[in-house]
Amino acid sequence: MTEICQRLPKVTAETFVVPLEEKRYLIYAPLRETACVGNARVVNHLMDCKEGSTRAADPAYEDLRNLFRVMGILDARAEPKPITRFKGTPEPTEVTLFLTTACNLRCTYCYAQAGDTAKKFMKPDVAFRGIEFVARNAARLGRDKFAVIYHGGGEPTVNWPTLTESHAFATTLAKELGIGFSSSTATNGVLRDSQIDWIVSHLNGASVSFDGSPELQDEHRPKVGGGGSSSQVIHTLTRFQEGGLPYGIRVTVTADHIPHLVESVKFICSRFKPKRLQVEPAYQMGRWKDAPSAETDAFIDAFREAQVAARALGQEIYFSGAKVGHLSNHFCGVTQDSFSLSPDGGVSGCFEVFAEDEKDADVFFYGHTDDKGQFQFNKKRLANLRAQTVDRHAFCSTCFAKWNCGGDCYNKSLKVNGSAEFQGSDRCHVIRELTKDQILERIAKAGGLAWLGDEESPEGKSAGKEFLL
Amino acid sequence: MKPDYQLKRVEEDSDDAMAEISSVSPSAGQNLTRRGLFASIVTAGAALVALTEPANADTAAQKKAKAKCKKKKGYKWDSKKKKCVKRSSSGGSYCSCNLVCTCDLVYY
Repeated sequence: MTEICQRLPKVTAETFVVPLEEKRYLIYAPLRETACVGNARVVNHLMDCKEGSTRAADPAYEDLRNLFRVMGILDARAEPKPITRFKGTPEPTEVTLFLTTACNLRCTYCYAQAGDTAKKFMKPDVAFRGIEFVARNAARLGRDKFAVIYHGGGEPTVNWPTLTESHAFATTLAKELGIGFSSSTATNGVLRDSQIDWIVSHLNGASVSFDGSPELQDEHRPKVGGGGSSSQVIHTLTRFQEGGLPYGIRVTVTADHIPHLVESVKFICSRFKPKRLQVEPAYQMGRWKDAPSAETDAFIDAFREAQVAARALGQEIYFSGAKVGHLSNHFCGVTQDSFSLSPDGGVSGCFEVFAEDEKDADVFFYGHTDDKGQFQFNKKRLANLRAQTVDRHAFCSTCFAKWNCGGDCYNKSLKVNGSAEFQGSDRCHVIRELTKDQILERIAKAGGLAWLGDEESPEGKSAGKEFLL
Repeated sequence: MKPDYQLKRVEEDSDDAMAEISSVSPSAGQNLTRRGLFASIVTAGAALVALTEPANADTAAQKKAKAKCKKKKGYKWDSKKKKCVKRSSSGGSYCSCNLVCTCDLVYY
């Protein structure tokens, strides 16, 4: 007698279940980029399959199992994890230059406390050294370009001589090496017309901090000598737009700004067309350390409302932690040998830790230049930074948003938890809620029943590419 | 508290006699009260039929072109135009909470 063995279905995707309203559950397989919403019976049948129970073969559920097969949750090939892990000596092809700690504004919530700390200015030779290092790495690695980013700790354009001289140096070096070169800056937008002209004609992009509503901008981002900055920033943005410079706008939301967020977003979207509009709750760091948190449910509600307002004006708003469509084991470059130079020539892995005398500098500064002008790296610190990926965070192991947020910001985690072990923060709640929105939107856009993945995922999406660098 | 969204059994009640898929309304993520999130409820079978027979399914040629496009560096498949298009790029490739991308969204 022949015995026919029916093979039981197998759960082949890391699958999460998120309770929703009306006794419904979001079933999300992040690495397959698929999701649907079902009732308790749907979830429990999936558990039957996971546990190998006899109900896993019940013919009454064959359609459901086939739906899960279409979603890659049952009986699919193993799913690769989006893990990138760096090793060896850093070979960055992108340098971020912290040109100065000086600033022409005195923002109430400045994480860098610019203006309260000792003024430091990067000398051109420090910038040249960093640029030459990344340019030669790019040439040796066969990359088509290297990149230079001017960033803060202060307002980069305040150190105008080093900014322009280093750009000229990079342009010449790129020609000499026969490779491309791109450059961009973060700025508060309080610029002279001559600076605006130069930026439009020389840089490839700018990230402008602007809070939208002129009243709030003037209140939270006053000039160093007093007076609001809104009219100058509006002028700069208008000139960037007229000049065709790709620019992004970053809106910082304090607790008192939350009720006005919609108004701010409408103000921006009705006047400007940034390539990207990013809305972030203010960090409780630096000058804003003891201020009320904006990482709240009120922020989430305001963000949702602002999203509706932005879309009505043809724009989308983003929050850095909610990134459905992007799979990664890291939040930013801190685990990926991000190469930022302080005014003194130290190498930091984080945009927010820009001076060697800062708290946690011994965590983030992982290199310096020696007497011969060569970069030397601290292997122990580098290894610690490289290890801060979400796949190594025990706290995140059962969170549905982990492969999208990548474990969030290491620096903020240290400031909140005060320990090396990630323990989550108020941002996690914001991230999960806004990530959930994005998944539900994906389902709705896909016809309402199930999201079966994006066809136009960003280039950074690394699913399927398990590689060690 | 550590978040826990692992797949596990959930409590069923008398309304859960059938496995049902909920259709998500287009206002998902925009509805502040989160009421009316679900437009309708369908059986798994109906959902499966709807998903495996999309009205605007790609033709065999388009499927082939899409697969080829996905392997081509610097290009992406435009599902609306049904063709391979070059990714635009400008500005730096770094995006973070402190530096807004001005290029296509490219993370480290």
